[in-house]
Amino acid sequence: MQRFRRKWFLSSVTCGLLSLVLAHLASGQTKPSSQEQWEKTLAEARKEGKVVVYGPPGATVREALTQGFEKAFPGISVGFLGGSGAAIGPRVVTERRGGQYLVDVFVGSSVMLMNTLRPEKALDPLDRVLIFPEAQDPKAWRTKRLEFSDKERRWVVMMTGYVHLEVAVNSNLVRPDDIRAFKDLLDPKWKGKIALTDPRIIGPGQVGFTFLYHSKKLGPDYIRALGKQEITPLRDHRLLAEGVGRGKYPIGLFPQPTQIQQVISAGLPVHPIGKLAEGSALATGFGSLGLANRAPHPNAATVYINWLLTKDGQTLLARGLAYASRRLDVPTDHLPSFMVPEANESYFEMDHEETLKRRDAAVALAREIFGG
Amino acid sequence: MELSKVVSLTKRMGGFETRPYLSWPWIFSLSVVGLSALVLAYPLAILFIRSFAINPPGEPTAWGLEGWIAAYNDRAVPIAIGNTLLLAVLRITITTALAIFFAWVVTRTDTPLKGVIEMSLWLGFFLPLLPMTMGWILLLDPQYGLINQFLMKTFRLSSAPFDIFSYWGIVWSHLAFSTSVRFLLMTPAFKSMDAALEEAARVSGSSNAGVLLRITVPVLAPALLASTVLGFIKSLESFEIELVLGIPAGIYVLPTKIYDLIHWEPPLYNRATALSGIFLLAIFALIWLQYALLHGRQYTTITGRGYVVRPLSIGRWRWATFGVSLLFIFVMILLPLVTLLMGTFMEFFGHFDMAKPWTTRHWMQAFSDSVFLRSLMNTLILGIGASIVGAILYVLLSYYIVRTRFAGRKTVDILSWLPWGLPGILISLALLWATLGSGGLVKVLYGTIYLLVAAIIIKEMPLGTQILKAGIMQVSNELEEASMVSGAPWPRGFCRILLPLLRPTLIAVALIVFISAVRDIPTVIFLSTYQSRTLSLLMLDYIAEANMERAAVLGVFIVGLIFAFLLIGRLLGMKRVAVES
Repeated sequence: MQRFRRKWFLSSVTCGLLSLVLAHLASGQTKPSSQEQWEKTLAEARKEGKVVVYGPPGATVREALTQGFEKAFPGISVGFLGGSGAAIGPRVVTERRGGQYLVDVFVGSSVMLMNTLRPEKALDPLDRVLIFPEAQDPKAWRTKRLEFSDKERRWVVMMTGYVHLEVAVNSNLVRPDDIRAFKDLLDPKWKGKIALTDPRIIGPGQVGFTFLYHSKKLGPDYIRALGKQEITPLRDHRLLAEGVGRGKYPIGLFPQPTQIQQVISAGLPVHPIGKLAEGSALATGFGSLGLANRAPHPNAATVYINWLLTKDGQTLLARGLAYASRRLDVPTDHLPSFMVPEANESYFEMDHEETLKRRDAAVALAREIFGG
Repeated sequence: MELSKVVSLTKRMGGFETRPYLSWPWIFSLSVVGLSALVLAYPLAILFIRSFAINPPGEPTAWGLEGWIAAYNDRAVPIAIGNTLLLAVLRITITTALAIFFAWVVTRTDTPLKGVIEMSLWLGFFLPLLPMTMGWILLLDPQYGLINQFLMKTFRLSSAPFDIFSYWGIVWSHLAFSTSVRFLLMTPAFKSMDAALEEAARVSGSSNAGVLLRITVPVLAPALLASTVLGFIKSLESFEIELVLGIPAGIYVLPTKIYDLIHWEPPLYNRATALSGIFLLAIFALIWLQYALLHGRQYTTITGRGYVVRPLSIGRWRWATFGVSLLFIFVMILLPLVTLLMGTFMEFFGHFDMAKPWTTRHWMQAFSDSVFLRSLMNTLILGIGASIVGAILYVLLSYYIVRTRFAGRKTVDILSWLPWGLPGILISLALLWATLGSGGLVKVLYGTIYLLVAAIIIKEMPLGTQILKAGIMQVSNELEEASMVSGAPWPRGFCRILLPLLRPTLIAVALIVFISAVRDIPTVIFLSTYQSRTLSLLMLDYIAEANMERAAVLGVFIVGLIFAFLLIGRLLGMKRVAVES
């Protein structure tokens, strides 16, 4: 029995060592193969000559996502169509049902990618096309790996992650120390003095309401109490930021960060409060990525996706969207400090599959409070 | 005339009827009508059918009434309907009075600088609504509005006299655009009216106001009613200003509700279409009202006798009409236009207290955008294509509805209203479904500018056909009959007699379609691709990132572009007057 055990032990060790040697050899072979695969894909992509990207709305991000790539890969042009999820989602569904497979890469909200395009089978898994080592270098990413919206970790990459701005106050009318927690907003002295980005439609208000709804410390009861504070819902982000800056609304709840930055740079007395006592959320906004199923330019799509996940691609994307990238080597000097996530801080992830599924409950409560 | 010639003539004219019957021009006309019915009825029928689809994305299609039930079970809908109607009635009442006044001043009186007044009112039509609304907020916000602050300081008031975030604020912000639209719709009819009628009234001792109220307005009833109906429907559909000014004040309208449903992710198009049914009902009610009011009456003002377009002399009152017109133009059009223009040169719109408030960088950035030139080219093709093809199609349709006795012309008339029963974004979606759900020949249109041309023609069909119908109703049949009696075939009579008489109306329609094509965003949003992007969609890019300054630059540029075409249109109109004189 002992002999047998020793024999088993020796053979196990030998097998283990052999496996390690083989694995090492194999990994030695993968590296050149990965490089070869990349070069082959790039050559094929140049033959295709074009990649079609459906992306976020906005001129700055359009220029970032087209000109940067075209400079990096001359000979491959980018056809870019921007739009909100409500405009892009139904269009893609109709195109596909009409037999038109026109798009290669999607950059947009996780809501659109997960709730509209994935059920429609309009996406292909990304793991097969991630071939450029820098794109998936574990050290480069915030959680030491690429982050996905889906539980399978195959379909939708969350490229950006910025701290969702919770409150901005007019510093002439409200002392920033007065608002340390969401519960402070329930103080009767703020009744009729708060404006909120409308949570009934897609945007920062909806993200914020979803966070409040699912927060263990706050929840639906808190939202109902907040609703009694005679809050004004606004849909125009600029109107809200200016309203806070000019003192019309001393407190702005879930304002759009870039608008707050603009009114601050215009000299208005606005103080943003990025994080309150009950915690804060990490949002992806329009910064999620998906590969189109039946992409007409599959090689160019592969090159584009890998480029977009590199430091260069992420730097352009982050600047174009005015967000923070989840890559740690991407500069954040274009952002106010409250938007940049802290390294060891844990945040409520707004764009994970589970959160996205539960968003409707928060919106229903918003409708109950504000009507519509 | 020999008996054989009389018999031959009566055959050509379809028996002793004054209206012609089937002949080759009518075959052509019918094919145009068939095509119109197809492009109107097919996409809208698809949209209607799909309003019963209840499956979420990715699941097999399932049908049911859930979308409709959910849409109409909403407790907020009756309130929204009430607000929509109230705002529409308020606006239509005020703008009808103003538009009749201005159309009369410009076309029927000897008020000084009429040309300038007319051009300024046109300006009001194509000013971009969103930046203009921001301008009004800057002036009339109760907290920091410049006019409110000035009045409070000057008259030592304890509170702001104006609040832009209110019912009246919404009505006020609409006034320039709505009055201009009504003015544009009415002016061609006023221009085509025979002055002999008014002169006869004056000779009989009627006053200026008496002539306007007892002669001009009743004679122009079809045009006035058509413009009122069109204006009312447009008021029901309006949502941009209501979105910005209404929601902070808790004023919700039906289009805001539909907007919400469309901007849900994934969008709830079935519910949005179901709610749009209210617009269709309103349209049918208004069409019925129009028929009931106009049925059996004669509104011909241009007959074979020839007609006079000479303006009436209103004596010293012309200075009063001049003053009122000038005041309206200054307050409602020039003030916000100057604010808009100023905004394009400001670092941050409305902030004068910055260290360096003025800049030209928004202009530089807008024109150096890599897609600007292509977007401009697409816009010109879209605007010119839609205005020319649209005007031809609308005049044929209107002729078919007004002049012929073919069965089904009333159906075609009703069909031509349908595009105004739906928000532009739903028309866009319907066309997307129709195009991509059709055969290969139609699918090739997708991604091209031609599909956008078709979309704009469809969207503006109610406006184009209603204006031209009113125009044709004013021209007596006897002119064409005289041409046929003289041996001219129908096309020659149509082209040589009717079209020249309709020229001011046709030019107005073409310009309105051009302006709509250049400005429109929702109707083309699903149909445009990166190859067929227009300037208005480029502007949407700027609005999306809340860059109102750069959006305003494009807004001003579009205004300039339209103004150039307006001048061309006006020169064409002037040429006609010169030929006539």
